[in-house]
Amino acid sequence: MSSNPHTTNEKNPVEPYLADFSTFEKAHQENTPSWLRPRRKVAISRFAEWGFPTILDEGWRFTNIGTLARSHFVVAPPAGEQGSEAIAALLARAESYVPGDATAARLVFVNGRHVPELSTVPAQGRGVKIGSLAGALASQEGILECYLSRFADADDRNYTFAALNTAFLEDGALVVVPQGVELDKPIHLVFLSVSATDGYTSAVHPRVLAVVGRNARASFVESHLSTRHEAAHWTNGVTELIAWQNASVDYHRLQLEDPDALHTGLLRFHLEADAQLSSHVMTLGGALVRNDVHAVLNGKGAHGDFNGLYVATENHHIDNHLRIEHVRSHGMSRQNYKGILTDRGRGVFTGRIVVHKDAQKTDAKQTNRNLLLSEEARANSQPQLEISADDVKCTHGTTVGQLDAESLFYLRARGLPLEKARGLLVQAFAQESIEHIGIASIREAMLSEIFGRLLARPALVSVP
Amino acid sequence: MLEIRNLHVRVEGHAILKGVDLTVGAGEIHSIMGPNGSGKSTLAQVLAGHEAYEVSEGQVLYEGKDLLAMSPEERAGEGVFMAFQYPVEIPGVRTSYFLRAALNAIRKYRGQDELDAMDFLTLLQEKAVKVKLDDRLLERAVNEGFSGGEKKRGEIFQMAVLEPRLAILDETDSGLDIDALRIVAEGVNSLRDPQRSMIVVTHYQRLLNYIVPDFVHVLVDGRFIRSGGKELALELEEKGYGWIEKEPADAAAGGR
Repeated sequence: MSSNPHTTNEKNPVEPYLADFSTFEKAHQENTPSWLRPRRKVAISRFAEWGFPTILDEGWRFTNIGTLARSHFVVAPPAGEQGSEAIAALLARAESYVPGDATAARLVFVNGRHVPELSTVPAQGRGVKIGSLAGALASQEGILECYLSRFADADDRNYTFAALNTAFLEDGALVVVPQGVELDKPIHLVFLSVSATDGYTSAVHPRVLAVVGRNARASFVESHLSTRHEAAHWTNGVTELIAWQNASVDYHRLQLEDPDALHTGLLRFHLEADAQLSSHVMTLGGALVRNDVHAVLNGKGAHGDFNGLYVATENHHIDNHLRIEHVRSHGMSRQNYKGILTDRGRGVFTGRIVVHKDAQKTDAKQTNRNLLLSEEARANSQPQLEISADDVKCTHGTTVGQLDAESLFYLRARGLPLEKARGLLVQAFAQESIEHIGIASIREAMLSEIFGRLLARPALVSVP
Repeated sequence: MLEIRNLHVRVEGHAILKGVDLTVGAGEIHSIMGPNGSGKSTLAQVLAGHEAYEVSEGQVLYEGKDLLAMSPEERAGEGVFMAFQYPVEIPGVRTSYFLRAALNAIRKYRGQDELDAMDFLTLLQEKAVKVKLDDRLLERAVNEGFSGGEKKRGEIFQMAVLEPRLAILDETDSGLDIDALRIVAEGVNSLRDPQRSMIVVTHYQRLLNYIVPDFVHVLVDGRFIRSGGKELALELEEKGYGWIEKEPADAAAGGR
């Protein structure tokens, strides 16, 4: 059944998921729209075929996901009564960077399920839709059939976890911003994960579909927070976002889960002509994290900024994998990812720029800078260019280094104690990435989250 | 104020300073001149506490304390300041933020209360006027994208804010045109004080037309080979370092 040669000798780790799927499918027979059933089936059969990638797969050379393959992660049950305190604490943290606001939309999900009591959805009018995916499926929203899994499910084994997400797709968020509508407040999508099992490994597969119409404008904050679980827990998220002509979108994905979390996430962006996207992927939590960003600049003159910051402490592993495709001419893309790595933390960055043959005058730029704060921290960085047009401008640059000794001396010679000087330089490094975020409260919170994490490390930095 | 005794310094195994003696009294300005590679900047860096320099012999007393035993930040706390020959660019850190952190670290070291934001801002404005610094620079990242002249002026401005007792100016004149040089020198002169000593390291005599030293020392191959008053600088300008290198080292060391 599996074409994956590395697991055939052992028990195939995919099999329990196939059994789960049968059960899941039966349980959802009633409320599944007829068009969704075949999509789920295709997805599970792809996952069955592709299975769990290994380091022999090109896209996973530096990321060993053995931890995921070795256990069977059942779909997490809803949080019980005992979870309410943990949920309140996580929500308070989320509110520290996107304050509660009766006039701004906030959808809260706990263990993958929408919780209306914790959510705020003010009436937006003008045809704006902000709500749970489960609700939209139940009410047969027409737009779902058109877009759901249209872009995120490709016949490509790099999409194996996206396929798993689609197979178990149940809930998440649907946001539709119609043509010409400009939303001035960010839409906050809060995904919380709290321990609800009796010590068995669990997963959630949250899904987001966002459609931003022609000349429309919207800003999103997708937050992932969790408590420490009794057993390993895995968040496997997929977000599909379509930006129509001249739409303007800010997308923030904040991964602030607990230090044991396992996380895979795909951001799949589809941009039509002159659409403007600014994406920010902040990864500050998790033991094993793989973020995929796949953007297709499908229309002429589309523009995408892709910023990222990742902080790996302890023995954490954070992998950011980007694929930016220029399909039509005059597109512009900027990838700017930065990593702060300490202890035995490891950062992996792969940025692939694909320029199709009609994408003349493409201007694509990529930088990845890594700061190593300990002897054992490591960074891998791989720029990849695949260019089929002849009139393009593509550049890439990578650095891996420690805090600059001359800068440290300069600060100390002005009176700053060593720890403070180090802290200031780390802050400055992070600041260059954070300052691109348009929401001040998020900028501040990210800095303090970063220092919260680094401060817990022995003799590393102090908050300046 | 400062007493350097028989200082020997090595960098990556090479002897750079080979027995330097210097005594600087309160309020005095000493100029250290010498050809490239003579060890001038090494002396400045060692006094500021750069770790790449290894002191193999000798002693430095600053107000009676063992300067070499102190970390760079302790030296700053004790009132030592070096204006860097190549001020470091630090993207992402605003100059005003950095200076407030520095000043408060020094105040804390001295057991003084930290300055609040308002008092600090007032101080900053006042010092910017004093050394004629465009205060828009304060809102930019430390030295980032500054011109050569702005960087050097920035160093003097930092000195004005931190009010050291011993200031070491390491080739503050290098890379400056005559107008920029004059502005920097005016800044330095405005900070002259009977309680503030300065060591002015320079290759060229022209800076000393503006910052008039009390003593001039000539450093060649890691040793002072001649010391004298300000007229020594003029003599050097006229005859070049070649002249003095050929002369026997009759008046090494000292100041007084």
